[in-house]
Amino acid sequence: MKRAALLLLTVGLLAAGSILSGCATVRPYEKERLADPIMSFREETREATRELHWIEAREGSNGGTGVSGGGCACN
Amino acid sequence: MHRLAWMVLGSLVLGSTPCVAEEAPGGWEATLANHELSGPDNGPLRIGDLQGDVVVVNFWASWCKPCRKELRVLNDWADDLAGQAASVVAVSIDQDRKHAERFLADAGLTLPLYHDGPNGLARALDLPSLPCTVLLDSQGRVIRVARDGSTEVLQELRNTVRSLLDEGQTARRATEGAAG
Repeated sequence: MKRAALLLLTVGLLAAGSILSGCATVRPYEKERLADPIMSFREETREATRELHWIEAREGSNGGTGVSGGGCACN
Repeated sequence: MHRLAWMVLGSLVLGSTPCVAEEAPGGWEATLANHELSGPDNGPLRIGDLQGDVVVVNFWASWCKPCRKELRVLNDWADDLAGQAASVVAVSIDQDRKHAERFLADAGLTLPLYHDGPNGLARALDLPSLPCTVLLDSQGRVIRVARDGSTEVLQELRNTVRSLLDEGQTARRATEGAAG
């Protein structure tokens, strides 16, 4: 019983390991589709951009809203 | 228990195979010199044809925010360097040339558009970042590769361009002096 559990655990860890090692590096010049606003996790990206612009204009503030890049692995 | 620990450790080692590492640029000079870029109106351009000039090659894309910021600076450089032995070549790696054209028009930039797409020179060089700016001296040798468009990096790059141009002028004067 103990042996079966051990085997199961090993197989599970190996499977998890092989899945995790399947990550692929997307090169900076391949990120056009990823940089598209539609790829954002937020549903209302365009609305959020408009709102941010409005807040920045009203408050005279800028930034502090996350990463600056467009998904191009820069800055 | 020991056996279990070894199994867990082994699985983690196997599972944590690293993603592809970045390679240092190698053989960029020949690739840059010989690749044909699609030019604006006056046909294609090979960077090798600009030998004799200090050349700033900037890779950018309309979807890359820092590139857009950097491109405005490079547009000013191109204006400043007009008439000198230097060229600024902005290479768009947008999939669709129209996106790059639209951005340049909207931003009022006058830099000529050289379009190459993501699978041309960018892939051949395996660009490590975007934006990426390469500075070539008058013999086509890569002097610097700037991987980001921060103000400090751009300023340093500008100073290097200036000193390369000064060196070129000094060398030209010395040659003329020796000939005269």
